[in-house]
Amino acid sequence: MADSGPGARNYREVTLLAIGFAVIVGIVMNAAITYSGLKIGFTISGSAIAAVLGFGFLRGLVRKGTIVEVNIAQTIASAVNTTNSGVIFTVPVLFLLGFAISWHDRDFWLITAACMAGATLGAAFIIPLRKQMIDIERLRFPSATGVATILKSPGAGPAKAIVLLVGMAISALIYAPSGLPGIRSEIDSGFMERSEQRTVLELVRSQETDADSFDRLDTLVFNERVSRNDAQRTRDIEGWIQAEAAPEALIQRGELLKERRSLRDQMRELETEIQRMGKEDPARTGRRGELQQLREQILPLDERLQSDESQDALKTVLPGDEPTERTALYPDSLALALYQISADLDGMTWADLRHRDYGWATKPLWGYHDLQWRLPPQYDADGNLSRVVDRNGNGRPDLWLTDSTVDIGRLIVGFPAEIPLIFAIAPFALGAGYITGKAGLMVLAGGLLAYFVLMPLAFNGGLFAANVEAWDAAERGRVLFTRPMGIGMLVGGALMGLLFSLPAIKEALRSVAASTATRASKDELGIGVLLLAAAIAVGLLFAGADLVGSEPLNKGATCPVTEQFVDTVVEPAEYGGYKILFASDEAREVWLDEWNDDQRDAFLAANNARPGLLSGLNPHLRAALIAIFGAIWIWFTGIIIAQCTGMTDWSPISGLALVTVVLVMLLAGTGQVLGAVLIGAAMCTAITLAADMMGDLKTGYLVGATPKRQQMAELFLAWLGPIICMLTLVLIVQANMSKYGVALGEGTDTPAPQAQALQAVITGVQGGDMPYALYAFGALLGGLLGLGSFPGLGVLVGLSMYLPFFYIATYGLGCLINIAVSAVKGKRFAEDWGVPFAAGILVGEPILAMIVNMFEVIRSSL
Amino acid sequence: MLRLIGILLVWGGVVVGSAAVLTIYQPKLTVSNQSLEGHTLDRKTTIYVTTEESPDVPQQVIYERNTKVTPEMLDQLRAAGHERIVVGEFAWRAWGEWWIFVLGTAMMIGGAVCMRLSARREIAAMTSIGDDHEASPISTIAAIRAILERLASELPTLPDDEMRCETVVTRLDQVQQSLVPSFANARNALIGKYGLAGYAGIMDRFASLERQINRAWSSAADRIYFESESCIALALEILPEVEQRLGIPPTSTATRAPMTAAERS
Repeated sequence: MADSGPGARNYREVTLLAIGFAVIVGIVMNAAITYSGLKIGFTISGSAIAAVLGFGFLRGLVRKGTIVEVNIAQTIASAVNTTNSGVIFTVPVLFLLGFAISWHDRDFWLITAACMAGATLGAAFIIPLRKQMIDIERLRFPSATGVATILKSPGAGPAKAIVLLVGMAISALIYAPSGLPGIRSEIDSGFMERSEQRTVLELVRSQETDADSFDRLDTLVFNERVSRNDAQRTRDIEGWIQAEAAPEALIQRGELLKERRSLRDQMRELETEIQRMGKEDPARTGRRGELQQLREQILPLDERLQSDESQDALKTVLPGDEPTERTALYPDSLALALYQISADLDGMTWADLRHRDYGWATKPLWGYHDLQWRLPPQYDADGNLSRVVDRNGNGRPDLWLTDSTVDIGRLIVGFPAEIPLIFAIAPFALGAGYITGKAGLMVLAGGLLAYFVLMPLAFNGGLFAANVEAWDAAERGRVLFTRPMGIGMLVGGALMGLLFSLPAIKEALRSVAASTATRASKDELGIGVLLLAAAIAVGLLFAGADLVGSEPLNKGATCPVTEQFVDTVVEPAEYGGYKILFASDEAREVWLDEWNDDQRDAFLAANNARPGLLSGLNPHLRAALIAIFGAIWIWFTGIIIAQCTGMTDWSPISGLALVTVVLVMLLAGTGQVLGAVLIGAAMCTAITLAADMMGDLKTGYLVGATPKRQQMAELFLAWLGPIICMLTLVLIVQANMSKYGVALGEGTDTPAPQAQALQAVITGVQGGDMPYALYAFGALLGGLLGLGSFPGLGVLVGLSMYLPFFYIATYGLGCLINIAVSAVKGKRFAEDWGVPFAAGILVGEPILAMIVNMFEVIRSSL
Repeated sequence: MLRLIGILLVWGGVVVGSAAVLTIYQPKLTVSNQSLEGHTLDRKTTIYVTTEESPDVPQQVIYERNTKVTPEMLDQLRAAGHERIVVGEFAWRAWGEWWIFVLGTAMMIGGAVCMRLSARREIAAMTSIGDDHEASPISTIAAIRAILERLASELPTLPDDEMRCETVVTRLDQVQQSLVPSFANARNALIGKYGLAGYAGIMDRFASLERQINRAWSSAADRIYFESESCIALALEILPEVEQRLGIPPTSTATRAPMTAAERS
């Protein structure tokens, strides 16, 4: 008997086919988006992509899938995928801070376990709030509504399905010239007919007198498609290839790097061997001696690499700059390659230098930038281009249309430069704004408040440094003022919203906990299962916090007394909540008996390790309190994120991750970076899964899926995501180490911008540089905003102060289009036809972005 | 009008309060030196000052970030024409704009009061509309009941599953596109009449009803008639629970049970 189609006796929902397909899709998306997230700094939601793929596979190819079955597939796939946001916003900071973590290290598995715990906690905590957020508050969840529209398209009739497809096509078409330039190919050496690099100003002037003086690399620089740095470096490399010779200083640096890498590899092997040995193993002492020798050999190498002479080898003077302005130009990977070629190692030839890994220039695919739509020229009294139209002073009017933004403000003569009337070319934001509708106007209003009122006030009131230009005020102000205030508002607004929603939450929880015999109540996962899941997850968090918290402050570093490398055989001492290691028993005695508190405090300060609020407690109790705090904070931030996503589709995950890391560091101590990042990663993973889960439950609600089945699927499979993401991360780190000698960050393909932001925050906390008062007053304002008749107002305004304005502008445009369509054609039309179109617009961009990213991942690995 | 005043006060208060908060790390130099004692400079500052040794040629003085604030530094900054100093700690004793912040919060509180009063009046106006008004929640529920009962009675009379499924999709479209949104939009009226807890209880059951309607639609779109029929029957079982919470007396019409496979064949 058939199990779908007319005459069927089973309504397919949770099937092995759907689960298998979804897990594979989730794993592939997770790996690809991990890489692209480390590259560009933001991730893509997987629900819409998974829904379209599931639709195509289960209904199109297999011809068996039902609407609810495709819904289960997208639920599982997005659950496996979505946790990568939580991991890549936090864990990479450890590599930037110099931690060396590999898949066979204990810390790797501790962090992975913490993320798995976070995923479970996120699902467990948010499930009981499904009734309150979806059934009672009826939050919109624009993306989830769009996904439901996709799933329901077969039954909605061919016309609406076509409208959806048209929306997707238009979205992809609009996004293509914005996203495709992300694909860059190495330029041909035939692009260079001249050996010298010229400035854009020189090219502008030469164009007036000599139309044939450009070569193709000049043209790319002239059109600002390739930077001066890249062009200069490429000409230099080509010159070296032709001459089969390179600057001696650079080759010497390469030799030092090679030697250092070889010593680091030997150290790593020895450390692994020592860890596997027992403490009583007689060979251990000999191995430790060898390790010490290797460390002593590396120190002078590091000094030489940091010396002015070696650093200068990486720099050159660009054409047009003053002779004293030396700019960093050559990456370490180039220096290493030059040494390998000159020493005839590894079979490298001079021609191999024509590769992006060594800084050879790359050219992007065609994009909006190539339309070269520039501002009309304006000149100052001296006959030079005015700064109003030429901010970078390169002699050409600036572009008002780039690959990613449209700067309308600059087209309006006399428009104040400190007000950023810029729109992002982001169809997904437009679609999300449309689906949100009138409610999204509060986000737009908050954005206008922050960027059109407050930042101009701050700029004109002299609150910025004297060297900040008007046109830079918005972005600088976002970092200095509106982002911390916005995060504070989010927290305060959410707290107020929670207080006002308590009656609804109470009713929702009562309904979940009630065990009646009706079929309706059997559709919900019981509270007992959730409590069990939460208990296991909190236990894992405690284990992680306890193990990580007991790590000595100066493990792998030097003794405070003798400044020699420490020995873990010597019993550590406790001070200020930290474990301190020593090189010998005698050194330990000196620390305990002869040093005073000032000396000990100075050692902690030198290691950026100030005591935390819980430092005076027993370490296990401290870990338990941190785990409990972590669990409560995860619950609270999960609500914030689910509400933000439900009301607007935006989720301030990275901002809340920053706050979490700061809070844990304040509790445990500023030296407990690993512990803070562990809890931060768990929290981040939890809240991304909470938001995703709530969105998937909204989609399920709209198509009539059984919530319990979705909840079980997500709860039992979400743990897979962190494992995939962590393994991918470590793979990328290993590839970077062998290619560039650097794990992540500048100088690699994967700059990890979010992790860099977190690194800056951690450094700030350690140095006592955090603007705590901005967060606190922001929270107060957010709470007060929630006092009115709409308790969620604080969250919306906080969100808009946190986001860059160009996204809010496009999102707000979508909201306004919805209002206009409703006014002209009626609300029914705006909903029946507008929503499918907007759903297509919302989905088309991430699908194309996913394809572009996967293409780059495959290219990079070849 | 009251609502408009409330909105203006709230947003005005946010602007005023936020503007004051921007200055909490940048106190004016008109404050006393004592109020800035113990603070550190948070921005590298370069000034040019004349000294006794060099009264005609100003000398460059650079204060690096994290330098402790001293009375001498403050005097030099004032002499150089600086209006504010950027410090790394919340200068609460030197925060001259605190009263602006208080004004902002007062505006926000006043605005919140106005908006709540206005909302209460709106709710009172909505609840004064009769329950038999076309747009009232009770009328909407009655309309949903009518559609579901008609479906339950008509579907068995149709010739095949294809036609039954088509009928379900068409009829439930109307419920999903207009009746459900109409009921959901009556939120303020429902809260006004039943309170927030009562509203939550109503929506809890209504959501279950809507879910069954959605599942009936989906299964009909997938041409799985038996599932659709079962969901419609379950929706009719849930409907009295919604009606009970709305205070609607039980209907005299018994809910028709779905046909068994034997009855259909």
